[in-house]
Amino acid sequence: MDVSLLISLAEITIAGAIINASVHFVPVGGAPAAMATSTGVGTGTTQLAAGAGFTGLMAAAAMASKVGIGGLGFLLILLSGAVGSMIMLGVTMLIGQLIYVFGVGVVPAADKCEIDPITKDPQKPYVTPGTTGHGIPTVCFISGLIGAALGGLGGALAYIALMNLGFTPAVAGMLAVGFFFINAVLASYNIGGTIEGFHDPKFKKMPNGVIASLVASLICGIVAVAMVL
Amino acid sequence: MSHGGGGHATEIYPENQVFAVGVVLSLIGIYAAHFLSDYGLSMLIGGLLVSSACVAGANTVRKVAAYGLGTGVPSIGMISLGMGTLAAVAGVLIPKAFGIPYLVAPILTLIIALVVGFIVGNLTVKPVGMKIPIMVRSMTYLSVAGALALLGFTTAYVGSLEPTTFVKGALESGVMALAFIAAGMAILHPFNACLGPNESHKRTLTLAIACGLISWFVFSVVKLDIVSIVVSIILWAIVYVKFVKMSLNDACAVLHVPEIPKKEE
Amino acid sequence: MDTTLIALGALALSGALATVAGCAEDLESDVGSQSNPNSQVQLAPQMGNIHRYFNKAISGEPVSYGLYVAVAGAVAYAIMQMGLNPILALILGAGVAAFVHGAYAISSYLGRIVGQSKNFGQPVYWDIVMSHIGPIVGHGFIAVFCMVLMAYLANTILGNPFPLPLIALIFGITVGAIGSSTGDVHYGAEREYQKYPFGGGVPVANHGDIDVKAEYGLRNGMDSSYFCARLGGVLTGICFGLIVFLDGWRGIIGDILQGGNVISASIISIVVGLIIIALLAIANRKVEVFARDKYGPYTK
Repeated sequence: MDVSLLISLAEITIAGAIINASVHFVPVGGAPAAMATSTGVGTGTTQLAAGAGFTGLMAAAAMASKVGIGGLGFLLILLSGAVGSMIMLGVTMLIGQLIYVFGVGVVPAADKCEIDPITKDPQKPYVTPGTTGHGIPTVCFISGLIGAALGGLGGALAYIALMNLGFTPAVAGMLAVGFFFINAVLASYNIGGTIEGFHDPKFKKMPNGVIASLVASLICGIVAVAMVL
Repeated sequence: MSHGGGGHATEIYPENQVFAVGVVLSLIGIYAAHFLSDYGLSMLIGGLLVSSACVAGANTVRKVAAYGLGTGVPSIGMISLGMGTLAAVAGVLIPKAFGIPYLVAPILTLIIALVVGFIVGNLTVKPVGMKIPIMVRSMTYLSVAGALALLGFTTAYVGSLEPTTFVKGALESGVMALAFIAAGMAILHPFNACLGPNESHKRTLTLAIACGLISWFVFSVVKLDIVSIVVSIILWAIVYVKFVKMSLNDACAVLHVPEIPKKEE
Repeated sequence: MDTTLIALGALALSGALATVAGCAEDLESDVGSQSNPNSQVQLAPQMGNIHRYFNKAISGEPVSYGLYVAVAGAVAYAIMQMGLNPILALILGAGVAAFVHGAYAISSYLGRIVGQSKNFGQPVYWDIVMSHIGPIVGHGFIAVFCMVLMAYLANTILGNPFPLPLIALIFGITVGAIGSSTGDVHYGAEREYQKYPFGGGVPVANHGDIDVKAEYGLRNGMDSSYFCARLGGVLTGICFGLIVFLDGWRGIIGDILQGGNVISASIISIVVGLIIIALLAIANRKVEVFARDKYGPYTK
């Protein structure tokens, strides 16, 4: 078998694992966050990860059509995907923060840690009694940026791998969208609703999700390689 | 985002039956779309029959979501369509790679969807740890329903299962993206919209059929097939009005003025 | 230089369209009470609060907006293949998407309300359905048209290699994710619970106890929409507009500064992006510190 096919297979498998890991970093409060009852962005894990990941995928595709996918272009595409995704999630989190602070009048406070690991600010006195935090404190923001970077990177890597297999941009893009959703939903099931970021105890479950994604992505990769034999 | 309804409502038709009927009808539809394209009937006949895959998927979602999925119903729609995309494209392209006649594409899609759905379903139980008893079976069924709906609508649009024509017509044009999301919504919307303690299988199934038909309508518009557009919109209207009438009948009250009903003490 | 100028113009137009689309999307999800805050509307009858909101549960906003924009994109693509004017094609596409939107909206209201009607005594308000479906479909049309026009610009002028329906799908999912994360908070935490004092999250114990009375008479979806247009809708629009603009602008800056060399242009665009991200993080921290200092902790 051709070595390049094996490399693409490995790239797809790793991309899936990265996508799965990325979803665990994004601070998602789910439905309660929309009522300022839990910390994080007020939407579902899959949806936000998909939004960020696809922005990264688009940035990667645009970059790929400009510089090609060999050599330095490979690195540039990955970084472009990561940066595009980070901008999307960063702006979303910042505007969300503005609405929390000025529209609802809450102080950003996390519930799953006593002190913010990055800014060393105490969190407990600022949490509304009866809720589990609200807003987007700095640790959640940074965690979200890391998650977005990984998500964009994973999407871009999957796209490059599919392009290397010989698919046209349109086909590679469509397969990347479906592939991204499979891994994002597996991660979402692993998290089980809400997560505040890398400081959340639920974060320790990440290896389970990553292993599941490794297997699922390997299967998807084998199917993809079989299409071009 | 929503959580599963409280408990499982009773079924009129067993899930396996609905699933089997959906699979058989959509397979017939895909082959019809391929063979009847010379007569211009691929969207008319193919599209109609393929809507049954959406109904089968929606029925399975109803069964599995009643256990309380925890992260909402949209996720399961998206993962089944994600697997379906892979299976559908693979089903069309693999025959060319191995030199088998391309007419086996729907069967190959079915098999790949079964295998991938089964494996991913098992992954959600171990290591991911979802505690729903029927998860593996549901994921497999949903993967198949999604794959057949996707392949069906795109084949009805393109009119051929031949790999080069299919790739050019469905993937390069981007119509498969529409099939992805239209089939996904048609599968996850019916139960998501009807959930609640008074949910009834009859209403949910009627809405599922209506959603399948409106997906067929959208594809008819994209294909610019006038006959298909007219037939699909008429059929959709009949089923949709039936759903509205059923709902109004089943409500505790239908009011037309801004009045909160007085509670009897 | 000429193509760069056209690209910059298309990007500016895309940014403006994104702003309008984001605002319209959020307002539409407020009229129809979609996504996460809708869980409260769903819960209300169980808590004894019979309401007149439009309980529109069409899955999450990303998926539903993905559907509408993808429908618009695919129909527009088909009509453009026929040779018609692109703008006309986009309008017709958005029209078909609006029709699909309306069908899903009414079915979800009926489904959800009747699904809890007999148990909790929540009646079906047919006048709510008839009066709200117009604003819902109208706002949806504005949002979808703007986004499918953006997708068209991205496909033809801004050099995106994906086909139009796929770009449309991705934009729809993105705007849904953004609207769900930003504007819906204003609706869910503030407007739905206006009877509770300003300046605090909604404790779990109060969930379901939403406002059913309006400034005068009974509250419905349109009251929520006009309130949220003041802050939530506008900020959602700015959010989406900023994202589209910043992401494209960093690429064009790279082209302008190092037009000949594609590699250096790309490196510059990545560096500019990283600078923007750092600024965002600093801004977030500043807002957090402002809130901590000015609002202060909870005192017993």
